[in-house]
Amino acid sequence: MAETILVVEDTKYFSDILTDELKDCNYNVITKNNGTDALKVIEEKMPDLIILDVKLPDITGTEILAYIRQYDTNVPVIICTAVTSTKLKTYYDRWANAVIIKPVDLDLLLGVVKKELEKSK
Amino acid sequence: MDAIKYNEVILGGIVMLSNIRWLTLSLICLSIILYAILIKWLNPYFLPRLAIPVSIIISLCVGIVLLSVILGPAKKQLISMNISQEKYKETTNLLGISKRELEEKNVMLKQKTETLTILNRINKAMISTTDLDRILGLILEAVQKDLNFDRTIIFLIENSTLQPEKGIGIENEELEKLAISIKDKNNFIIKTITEAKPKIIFSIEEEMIPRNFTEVYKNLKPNLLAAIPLISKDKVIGLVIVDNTKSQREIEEKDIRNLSTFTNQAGLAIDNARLFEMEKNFVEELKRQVDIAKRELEQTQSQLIKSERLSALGEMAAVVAHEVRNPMASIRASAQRISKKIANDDPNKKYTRYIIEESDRLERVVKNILMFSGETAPQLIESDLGKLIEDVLYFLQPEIESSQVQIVKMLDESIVMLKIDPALIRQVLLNIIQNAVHFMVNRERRELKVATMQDGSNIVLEISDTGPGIPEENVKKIFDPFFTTKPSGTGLGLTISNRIIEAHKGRIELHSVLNYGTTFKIILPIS
Ligand SMILES: Nc1ncnc2c1ncn2[C@@H]1O[C@H](COP(=O)(O)OP(=O)(O)OP(=O)(O)O)[C@@H](O)[C@H]1O
Ligand SMILES: [Mg+2]
Repeated sequence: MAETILVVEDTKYFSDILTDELKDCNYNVITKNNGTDALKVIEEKMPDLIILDVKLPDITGTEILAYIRQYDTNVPVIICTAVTSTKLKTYYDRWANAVIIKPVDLDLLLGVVKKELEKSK
Repeated sequence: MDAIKYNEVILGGIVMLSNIRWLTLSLICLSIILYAILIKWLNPYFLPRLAIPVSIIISLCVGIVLLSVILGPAKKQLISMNISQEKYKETTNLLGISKRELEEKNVMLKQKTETLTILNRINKAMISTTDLDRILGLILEAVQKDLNFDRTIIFLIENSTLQPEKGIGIENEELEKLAISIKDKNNFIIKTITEAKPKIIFSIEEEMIPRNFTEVYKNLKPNLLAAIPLISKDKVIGLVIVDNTKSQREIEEKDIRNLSTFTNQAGLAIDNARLFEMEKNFVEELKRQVDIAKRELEQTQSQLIKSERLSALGEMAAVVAHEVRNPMASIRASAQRISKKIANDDPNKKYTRYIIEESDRLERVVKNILMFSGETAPQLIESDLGKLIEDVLYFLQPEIESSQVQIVKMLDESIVMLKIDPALIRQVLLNIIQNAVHFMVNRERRELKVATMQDGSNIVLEISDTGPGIPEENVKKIFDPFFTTKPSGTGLGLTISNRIIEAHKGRIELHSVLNYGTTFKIILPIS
């Protein structure tokens, strides 16, 4: 059975590419471009893995991460962001499974996804 | 007065002498007449044979008695005449002496007036000029004019050496040879200073003459060389050395006395001029220090502005990075997807590669700007440090070869994997090695040493060069942003490197020896 991956990304093109790439790798992909919609998905059914952008139009990826960790400490979360600070980095290091800085290398990202999914089983 | 009196006596004597002549003549006449009268008068009573001698005897006796009566006062007069003559002689003698004394006094007076005029000139100069050299010149000129020694040299005490300042009758290069240490207590010059009394060299054997003096003061004989201390406010500040070794004319006590008149005044004038010069120097030094302080202040200010600008830059850089990285993510990922989809021999394959490579380059630029302008977190990946070093050296090979730099590698084989951000560490290595190579150009020895070693819980990476070294005053500044001594440097290289290493929780140590070389030590914690 294919794992479900939630992609929360507000940049239209990039979310598009990510979705296609993950689908090509036979994952179920749900794509959301804002925080509110993403939270709805999470409340409904927790996906197997979440790829999270930080800067979103409504709420931040950091807040979504905090929300996720209230219910589930195991689901792998990969932070995918353009900029980060040392303070946030420490926070992500604690609560997220990986931080990847854009522009990402797709193969590197796929590698991390695969590794994290295996770990969470 | 006396002379006139004695003249009278002598005149009296002469008058008396001429009177005696006439008196004697008349006495002889008188004796003859008496004789004639006596013969006539005695003839009737005596025999003619007896009458003649009796008459002669009587008239002779009368004549003698009368003569003695007449000559008595004449003799007295003669004696007094003799006395007067002697007294006269004595008087003329005395007169001569007093005349000579008068003349001498006149000469001395004239000399004194001249000395005074010169002293006055020195005084005036002292008031009007504080130029030490001019005052020394004036003193020398005065001494030369007045006392005419072969050579006159003024020495001043300067930090425990006796420095020849100015001289007359001596070449400058010879003058310079005469400096002596004040600690050499045995020689007569220093003795003059400690005793604070003028000294003429009476005996060459007994007095020690400084070795460097023997060349300048040749043909030294007793009484040809003298030293007179220069005193100001009870302190000896130097001395004047005069000599007549050339003319071989002996120096007299009198000369030294006269010279002392100058030196007493000169000491004060010199001291004043020196004080003034010191004050002037002090003021100048103060001004210089104020200037330095001002410049430093300006520098700190500009640095402050820079750092302020930097934090503003940091914010802006973060925004720019965000705005650049997001579209870049799409561009790069798109290219990567195309690249995956097309066959390896597809002619478009290389274009996708171009896009990806250029995106990566742009990403490096963004990263460096972020790194420099603000904080950023390194992405720690298990990396092979040795391989990284080899990569960087390979990358810089053209530069290293053209600069004819020799490379010495001392890599610890046991260090394999290290959790670092390879891209950032690569940047650090690039910058430090590039600096090393750059600063070795034009050096005789050009050797670049790269060494790694393990030191407890740290990995140490050493990069040494044989360049000119970093001056002490720059050592603190080299990590400051924009500090550079390269004509076209940005001064950011080490700033960024330092930040990168700090972000790795490590540190950079610097060891630099001027004219020998510089070693940068990168110390990284293993975990
Ligand atoms: N190996 C070295 N030998 C001597 N001086 C050095 C060495 N490395 C650095 N410095 C000094 O430190 C300064 C700052 O170096 P830094 O790398 O920060 O900037 P830069 O090299 O001058 O400029 P850029 O890196 O932009 O070319 C240099 O200009 C130089 O004065
Ligand atoms: Mg540099």
